[in-house]
Amino acid sequence: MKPDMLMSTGVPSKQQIDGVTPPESRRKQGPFVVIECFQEIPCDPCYHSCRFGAIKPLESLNDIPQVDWDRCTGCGICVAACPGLAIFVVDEAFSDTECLIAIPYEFVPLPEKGDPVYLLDREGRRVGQGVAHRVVPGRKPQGTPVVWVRAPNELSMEARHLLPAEKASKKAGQASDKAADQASDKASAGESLTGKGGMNCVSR
Amino acid sequence: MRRTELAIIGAGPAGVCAALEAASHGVRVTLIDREEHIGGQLVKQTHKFFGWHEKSAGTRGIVISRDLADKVKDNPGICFMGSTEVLGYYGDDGVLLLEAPAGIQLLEPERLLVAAGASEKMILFPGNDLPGVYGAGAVQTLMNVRGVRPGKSVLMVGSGNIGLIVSYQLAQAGVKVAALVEALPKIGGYAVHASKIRRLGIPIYTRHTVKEAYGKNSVEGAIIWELDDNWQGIPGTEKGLDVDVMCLATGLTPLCEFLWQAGVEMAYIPELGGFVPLYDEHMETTVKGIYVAGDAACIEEASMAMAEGRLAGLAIARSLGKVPDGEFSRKREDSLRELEELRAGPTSEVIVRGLAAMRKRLEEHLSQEHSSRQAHQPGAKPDAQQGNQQRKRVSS
Repeated sequence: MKPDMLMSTGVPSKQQIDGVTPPESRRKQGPFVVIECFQEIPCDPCYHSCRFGAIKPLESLNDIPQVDWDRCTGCGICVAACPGLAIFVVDEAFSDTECLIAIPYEFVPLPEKGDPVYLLDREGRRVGQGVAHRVVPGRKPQGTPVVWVRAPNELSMEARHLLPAEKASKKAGQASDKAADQASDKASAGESLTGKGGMNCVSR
Repeated sequence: MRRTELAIIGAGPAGVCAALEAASHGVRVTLIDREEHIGGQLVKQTHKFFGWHEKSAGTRGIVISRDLADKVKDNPGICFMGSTEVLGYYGDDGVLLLEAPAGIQLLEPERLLVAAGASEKMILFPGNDLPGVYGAGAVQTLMNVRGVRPGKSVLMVGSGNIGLIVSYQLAQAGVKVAALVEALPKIGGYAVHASKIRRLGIPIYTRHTVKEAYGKNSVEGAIIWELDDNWQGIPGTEKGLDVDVMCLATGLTPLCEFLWQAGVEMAYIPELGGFVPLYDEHMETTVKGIYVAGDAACIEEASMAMAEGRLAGLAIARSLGKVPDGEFSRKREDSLRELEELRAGPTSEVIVRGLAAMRKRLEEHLSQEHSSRQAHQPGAKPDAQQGNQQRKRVSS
C-alpha cells in the first residue's frame, strides 16, 4: 500500500487542509481555529483546553478532534495547549488586506510586538513577510508561546511558521528571498491598517 | 546484607511510577539507578507529552521528571540509590549485586522489578565509527542535560518519534538539521511531529538511507541514497550532505540482561523491539516474583511506561498481601483500561500485534511447563530446563 502524502512527507494534503477549514460564510465572520491533526494518536488536551465547548467531546482518546464552528471564538487557547503544535487560529476578517494567524512558536528569542517576520509554509518555504502583532509568552515553566502574526490575506491558509526577519536575511541563497521581499513591501504598505478583529484572544 | 521488599532497577517513568504505587500500599521500596537523577530519559524530553489531560498530557517530560523526583523524595517508603550500577542478579540466592558510590553492596529483595529501559540500535555503513556519529540519546544528553551543541549541521537517521523530536530540539538549539532519512516508505513517528519539523524547512527523505559517512578524523560529510523495493541502494541517486554530526535514531531494543540472568523465558518479538521477557497482564515474568515494566518489556511511549509501572507496582503490593481485594480489582481494571485506550489507535497497531504474539508464547510456555510437570512424578529430578523454569519465588 502506498502511504499517503502526510505519512511519506510530513506535509498534509490540500484535501486534508480543506477538510479542517470552516465554510466560507464562517470564515468571513472572524477568527476560527484550524486543527491540523490528521492521525489518530492518544491525546486530548485540546478538548479540555476549550472553555467554549467548541471542540466536540472525544469518544476515544485516539479520536481526531472535531470543531463546532458556531462555538469557536478563535481565542487561541488551544493553540498553546496542543502538545503536537498542530493548532492554528486564522482571522480573515482582520482587515481588507491582512489576516491574523496564531502560530505556536517554541524558539528563542521570541519576536517582540511589531517585529517583522518571515512567513514559512508547511514545507518550510519562505512565502512572504508579516509582522508580529501580538506575542503571548508561554506560561512558566513550560507553556508554548503563541505569536499572532499579521500576514497578507492570501497566506491565511499557507503560512504556518515564522522566522525573525533580521536573522533570516543573513542566510544567503534562499530561493524565495525575492518573493519574501515583494511580500514585505506589501505587508509594510498595509501596516497602518489596524483592525480590531484580532484583539479578542484570551489574555492570561 | 540489606533486605528490601521491592527492588526496582531503573528510576525512569516506569520504575518511579511502580515505586510510588507500591509505596502507597506500604511496600518498602529500593529504587536503583545508575544516574544520579530520578526520571531516566524524561530529563531530556523537552516536548509536551500526549495522552490524557488528567494524567500528564500537555506536560513536558522535564516537568514530569521533576514532579516524580519530588514525590519520590517526599516518600519515606522509597529509598533511592542514585549513581548505583546493578552488576548482576543471582537468582539462586535471590540477591542483587550493586556498585554504589559507597562500594560493592548486596541487596536481597522479596520482589524484583526490572525497569531498566532500552538501548539504541546501531546500523551498518562505512564510517559509522567516526567521531561525530552519535546515538540520539547522546545528542539529547549533550544538548538538553549538559547544554552542549553536538555540532553545526546534522544528518538525522530514522523517522520514529525520537528522530523527529530530536530534530526539532536540534533546531531549537540553533543547530542545522540538513536532512532526515528513513529507510521505510512511511514516517514512523507521529505525523504532528513530522509536520512540525517540515515547517522548519527540514527535509524528510523516506525510502532513503545512509550510504556512507566520511572524514579524516571525524565526520565531515555523509552520502545518502534512495532504496529500491529490495532495500538496495539505487546507484545514481546519491546526495552529498555537508554535515559534521550524524544522529542515529534507528530504534531501541529492551535492556533485559538481568531477566536473562534470572532465567526468565524470553522470546524474539520484533514488534516489541527484539528479545523481550514473557510476562502476564500484571507484568509478572515466568519467574515468580520478578516483574518488568516500561521499555524493558516492550518499546513504547513514556505514557505507556508510566501506566505499566503503576500496574506492576499494584500487582507487587498485592502479591505481598498489602492491597485489599476490592481496591486491587478496581485499580487493576483502571490500569488495564488505561493501557488499552492508550493503545487503541492505529499508531499502536504494531505493539498490540506484538503483545498478542508475546502472550501466545507465554500460554504455550505455561502449557508446556504444565504438561512436563505432570509427566514427572513428584520427587523426580527435574531436567535442567525445567529447573530453570521452576525457580523458587525470589528469596522467599
